[in-house]
Amino acid sequence: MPNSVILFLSIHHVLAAEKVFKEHGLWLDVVPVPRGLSSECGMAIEFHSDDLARVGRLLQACQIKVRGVFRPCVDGYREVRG
Amino acid sequence: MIYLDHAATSWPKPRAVGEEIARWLTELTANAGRSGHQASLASARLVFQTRERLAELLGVAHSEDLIFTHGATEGLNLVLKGLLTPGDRVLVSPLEHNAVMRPLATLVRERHITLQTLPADPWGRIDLEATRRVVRSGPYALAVVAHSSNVSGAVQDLAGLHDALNHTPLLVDAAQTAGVLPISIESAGIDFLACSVHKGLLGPSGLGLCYLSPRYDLLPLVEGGTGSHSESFEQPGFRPDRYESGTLNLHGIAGTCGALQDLTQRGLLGEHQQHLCQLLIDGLATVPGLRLHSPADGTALCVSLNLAEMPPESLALRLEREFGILCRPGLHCAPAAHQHLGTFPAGTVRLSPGWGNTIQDMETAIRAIHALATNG
Repeated sequence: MPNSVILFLSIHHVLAAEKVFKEHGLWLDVVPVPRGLSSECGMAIEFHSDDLARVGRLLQACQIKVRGVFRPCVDGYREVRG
Repeated sequence: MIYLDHAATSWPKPRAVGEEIARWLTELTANAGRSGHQASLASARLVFQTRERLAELLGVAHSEDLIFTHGATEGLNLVLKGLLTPGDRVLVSPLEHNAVMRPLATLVRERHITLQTLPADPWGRIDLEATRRVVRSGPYALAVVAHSSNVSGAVQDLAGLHDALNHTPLLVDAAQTAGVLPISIESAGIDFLACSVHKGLLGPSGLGLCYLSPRYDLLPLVEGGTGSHSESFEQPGFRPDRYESGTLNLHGIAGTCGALQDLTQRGLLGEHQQHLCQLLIDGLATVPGLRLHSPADGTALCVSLNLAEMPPESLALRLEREFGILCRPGLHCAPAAHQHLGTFPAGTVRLSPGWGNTIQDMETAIRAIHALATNG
């Protein structure tokens, strides 16, 4: 299954999430924001779509602010958490 | 040469400070949070990791509440000008630096705030019982207190003060104590704190920190590009971006990262600094004509003095020219403190030891002042 993507408010929150994900053994990649998701020129986090539920719990528990979590679909991405 | 001006800025710096700055100057360095490439990401990681280490050191749970500034002065301005509104009443310690008194004077003029000086002992240490009585005449919008005076070296009891202030928001000027004394911002109930990194933290100049409690939403001092929400003309509402417009001082942050590596090995400076100050105080006790303006109970972080009728600038000049001792005479940008200590307008000579100074340095300074007092 293709990877899901999280957009954050700023690079600080990207790196805060990266730290937490690594501490919890989750695979991730910090990548430029996909053009199809935003006109922002910053960074986003890709993760295995299988980890979606775990990622959601971690973000909530650590109070990391996000702009949205997006799953790949036929015509691009679909937001699963705002 | 003996450098006794650490209250102005620290010297020497740990080797790691220069090494980290040089590394980030010579290797590919991009703008943190401004682009999607690996070099920008590496810079952003440096900023993030340094902020995280500082948050851990200062007892801050969420590092986004710790804002990078140009120095302690900017942080103090950010809080005072971002928080206070027309008609507010503000408590201040009697030992405040002009980094506090000048923005407050502007706010007295422009926003018609009023100031009330906190009651204190002759060294400027706040009288907590009397403060409780003052607070009952509130409410006050803010209390501003220097953790340690840059003139007398007196240290305030922040835990006792927090209790005495009875929920009055507290702004701490930690310019003289960050990296020197233990500070646990959130468990101590501190709402705002500002410091630089070039003094007790032994980092480079041009960088400071400002803690803003998440319970407050202050107006930013500066607005502009943040690398986030770029589609909007409005300043972001989230931290740290809300308060960090413009390119960060990345090389200052790199040097601070080096300083923090060293601090992990070295520990805080306070015990060493207080020991050296007490040696000075004890050794100078028998100098004829010497007037001491610092507490002699082992707590002072610097030593202020006058010698007979000798003007402070003359004493400092002779200490440098005849004995190679570098110190600072005058008002130390803190006329309010000198008014409280009774040393305004001439000021004092301040001897401020720090990292790298030795017991032998203190003995040399004591001998020098003895010689000047007895031989003229």
